[in-house]
Amino acid sequence: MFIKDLLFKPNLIAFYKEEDQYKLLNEKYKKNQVIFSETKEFKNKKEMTEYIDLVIEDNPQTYISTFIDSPNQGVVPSCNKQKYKELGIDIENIKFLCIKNKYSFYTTLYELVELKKTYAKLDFLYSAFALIDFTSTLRHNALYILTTKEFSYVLIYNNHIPVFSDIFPITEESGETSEEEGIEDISDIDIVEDFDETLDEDIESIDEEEEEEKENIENLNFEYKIMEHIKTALQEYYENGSDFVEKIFIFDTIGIENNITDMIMDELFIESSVDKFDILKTINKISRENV
Amino acid sequence: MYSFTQPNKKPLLKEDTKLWLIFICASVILYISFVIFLEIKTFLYNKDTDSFNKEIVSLKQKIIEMDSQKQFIYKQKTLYEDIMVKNSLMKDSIKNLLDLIPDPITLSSISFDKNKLIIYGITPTQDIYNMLMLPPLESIFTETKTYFYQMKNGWYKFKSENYLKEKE
Repeated sequence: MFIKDLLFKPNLIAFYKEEDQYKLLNEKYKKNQVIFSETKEFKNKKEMTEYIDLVIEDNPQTYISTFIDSPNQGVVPSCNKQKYKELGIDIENIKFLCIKNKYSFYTTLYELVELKKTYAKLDFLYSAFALIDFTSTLRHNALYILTTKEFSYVLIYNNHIPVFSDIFPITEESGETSEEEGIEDISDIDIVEDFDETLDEDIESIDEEEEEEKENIENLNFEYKIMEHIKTALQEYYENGSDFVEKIFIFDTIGIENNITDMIMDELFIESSVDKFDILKTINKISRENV
Repeated sequence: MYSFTQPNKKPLLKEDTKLWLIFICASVILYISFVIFLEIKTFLYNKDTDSFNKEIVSLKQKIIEMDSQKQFIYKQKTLYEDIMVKNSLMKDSIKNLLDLIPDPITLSSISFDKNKLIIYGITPTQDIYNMLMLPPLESIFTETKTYFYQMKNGWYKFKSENYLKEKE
């Protein structure tokens, strides 16, 4: 094994699908230092598969990892099957993964089979909650929310164990938002038409401002959604008479504004922080421990 | 940890690397075989050289032995020739001696030794012996002693001891 580690440096490929794009990170480590890193984006699966095949051809010691970006997963604060039954989870249709004999991640067998079918060369498949669990620092009365463009994954810790998990979709709601934005766009075009066509530069600058404004509105929308998700999760969590959450960590992958912390403080009186979260690097970090 | 799936088995080497390795291994094996072959040959040659060296030593020893044998044979030959010469001389001497013996004197026996001649015989008188027999004996031998015993009929039996002194 020592000789293998010395001579063969594995390539770690992490990827996930974000909307219609595939994001991929290919890294190679020597001891604890990155000696090669390449980030790629692909428009379709075929292109990504071709790239992966090329990497494998160059280095057979290539490990491919991704995470489950669907609602078909969760966390149970026990490794006992009885606990699953109590929570109404059909044990026969899921696969669960016990961590430190204290808590477990689960996903459906259907999800596993589908992912294996879609990505035949997949080596490691992680739960989205595993990414949070791997990165989490404070593990007592803390709420973590990982936001992606499609879902936000909420995980609440108590006494070093993730006791509550929930997944909220963002995409559907953002679809509605885009419709609203569409209406706004039409009105904006009307306004633009009022301007003299010769003042192109002014129009362009106005367009830019409008685009920024749109982005701000979109972001604001995201922030409200995240707020709603946090509130809903906390509501569900407190319904069982649990301890109060003392800190909220937002793992952001979509560009959430920092003012969300003020919003949380104003509405929920809980201290919070927004941290940029690199899903691909985190996946590779976990894979490095597995290789 | 954390993964729902087990990683697929990964070959350590690429296909073309495997092919290269096979060729390199084959070359190394051939090289090692050749080295082993040369080592064995060298070992055998060294062994042969040792055996030849031993043979040379043994042959040299044999040559020395044969030289000594040769010397011995030469000595024997010399001795043989010496003896032959002596015998011939002796034979001639005896023939001469017997030729010299006068008619009145009768010899009963003669014995030869290395440096000595003993003659037993009968003589009518001591004077005949001293006149006819003694002078040739004295001319041949360095020392001559004669003992007479008178017989009933007046004749004498004599014993003549003659010695040749070897030169030192």
